[in-house]
Amino acid sequence: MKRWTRRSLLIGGALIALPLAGLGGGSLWCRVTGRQPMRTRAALLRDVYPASAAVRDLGWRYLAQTGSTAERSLRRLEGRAEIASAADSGCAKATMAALERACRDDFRRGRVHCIDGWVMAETELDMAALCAMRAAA
Amino acid sequence: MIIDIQQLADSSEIGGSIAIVGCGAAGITLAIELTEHFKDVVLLESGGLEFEQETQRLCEGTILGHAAGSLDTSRLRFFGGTTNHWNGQCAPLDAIDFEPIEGRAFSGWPFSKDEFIPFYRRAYGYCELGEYQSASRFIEDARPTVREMIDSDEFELTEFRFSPPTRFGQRYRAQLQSSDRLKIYLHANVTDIAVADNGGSVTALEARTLAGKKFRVKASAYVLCCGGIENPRILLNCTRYFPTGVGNGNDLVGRFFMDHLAVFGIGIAPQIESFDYRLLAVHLEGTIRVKIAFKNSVDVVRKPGRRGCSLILGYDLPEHLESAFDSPAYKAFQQFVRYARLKKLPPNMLDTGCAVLDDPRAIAAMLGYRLSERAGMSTVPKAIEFHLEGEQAPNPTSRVLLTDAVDALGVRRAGLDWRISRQDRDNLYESAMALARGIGAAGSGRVVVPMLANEDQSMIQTAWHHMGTTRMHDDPKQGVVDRHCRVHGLANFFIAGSSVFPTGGRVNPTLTIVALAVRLADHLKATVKRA
Repeated sequence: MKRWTRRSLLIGGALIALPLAGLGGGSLWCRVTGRQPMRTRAALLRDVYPASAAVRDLGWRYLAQTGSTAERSLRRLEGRAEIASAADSGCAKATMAALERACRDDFRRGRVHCIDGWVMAETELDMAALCAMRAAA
Repeated sequence: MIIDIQQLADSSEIGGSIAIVGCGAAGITLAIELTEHFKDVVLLESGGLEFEQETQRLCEGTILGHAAGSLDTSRLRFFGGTTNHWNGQCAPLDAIDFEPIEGRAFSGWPFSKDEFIPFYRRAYGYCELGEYQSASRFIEDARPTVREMIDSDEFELTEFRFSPPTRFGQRYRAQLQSSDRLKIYLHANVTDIAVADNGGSVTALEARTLAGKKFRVKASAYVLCCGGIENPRILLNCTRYFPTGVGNGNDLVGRFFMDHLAVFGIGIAPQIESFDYRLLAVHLEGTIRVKIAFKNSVDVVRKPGRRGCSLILGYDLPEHLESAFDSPAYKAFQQFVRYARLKKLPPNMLDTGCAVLDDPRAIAAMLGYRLSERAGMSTVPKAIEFHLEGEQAPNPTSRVLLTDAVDALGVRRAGLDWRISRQDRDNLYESAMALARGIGAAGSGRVVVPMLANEDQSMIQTAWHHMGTTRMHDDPKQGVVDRHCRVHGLANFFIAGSSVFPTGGRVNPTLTIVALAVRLADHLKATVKRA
């Protein structure tokens, strides 16, 4: 039987340590940059988009044009399984990615609205509506 | 030989095997083709070799329907015709444009695209487009990138090729002038068509000069090549033998007027900056400029209510040139150039001149950019703008008619009642929305569509493509001319040009006008006896 050498132990240790370090680092990164475990799904969705003046304005216009409310927007977003699951994870990055995929899906399925001529996905407009309400609150 | 008809004695008679009226793309192509076969071809031109304001005024008319620009600036009345201000954008019609589609009124041509391709091949030569090919390598090169840019099965890639542009008058003048088989008569305006007593053939054309001299033109066959407005105007004005006009026994002359419906300002804000939108800008294939564009797929065109539509990359300036492009100096300079082409000065000469001198650097920057663009060196734009050019459904209520006003020759002027249907408009809107959905679905950007989902047509502009007013159909109740462009009921009277198009497709008409002229020339060579 082959003996363990110092070199093989070092290599073996490194092989085990690298994935662990990656896992730990990734977890730490997500915690620092995106994970907000203390927040509810609704709170994360309300905060994940930057509420710039343009986004808020877009949200108001959308609500005015469709006669809808921010609560309905929130319910619609929470009703999308992928978005809800990403938001439940508490990771802002994962939520943003899910929102982006949902927007693409909206365009594919024709769930779009024209705001001042701009053709926008329903999901991103719902998010803009949340931003508008957040700023008003 | 070129003869100014004003030099001939009043009441002279001119004769030949074939008399062609009009020296635009169709008339000049026919003349070149026919002189290979006939020894005595006559070509009549209303104007001179250069632009003359007095003759151009004969084109004035009234816009009665949708705003279509003015009738006297959308076409030109001198040797070379409207090719004198043509931009050169060319593409053959799509195969589906020739097909009769079940349930779609007035669809289809009397022949297929496959039968017509040999004439397109020859037309490529006249328009200086290189060798005919169904698609260039640029389309294949662009396909993978475009798939990432737009996630939609509603579009196909297509291409436009650009003629230099060929100014037919300038380009072919020497060739025509040197032919001893052709006589070109300038300043000859056809004012009447004489018909045999039995009403079955044309016996002569009556022509006049603006100075009042009269002439008679006799030939074995006659071809009218004066464009989509003037062809019906001449026919409707000739009421001596037929009270409703020549070829108008079924009240079709002037009806079915079509144009391409242009909408500008489809903007795209790119989401992925690395996309190289240059693949949709102008490329050089040898010396030929080629531009790739989107078009509605065949499946879309077949859908009820839908039609062909091209989506073409337009405003593609880099950021540092936007202010130069928008500067009053450059706008004034462009105005000078446009008027210079007509050998005129701008109406507000002093103001325009001062504006040009205000910012010569802006003009120099734009000229430099335009040169680099021609050389295929233009840079990636910041924002992208498309424009649409959509097909219009043939509609009998959209028409050219005569008004009570008369021109200097005492001939009634044309009125243009251009009608755009809700379906025509919706096709444009749906095409723009499909582009927006496709770009959004690919995650490559967001699109602004300058149209609303309502009946507003104000953003639809003319493309100055006058078509359909003497449409082609084998049934005299559905067309003014038959498949050989012969006026129904008249054995020796033919029409060439876009007025015979039964449908207009989505592409610029000049290439098809030339191809049809080549086809008609072959027919005349085979059927008209040499003198």
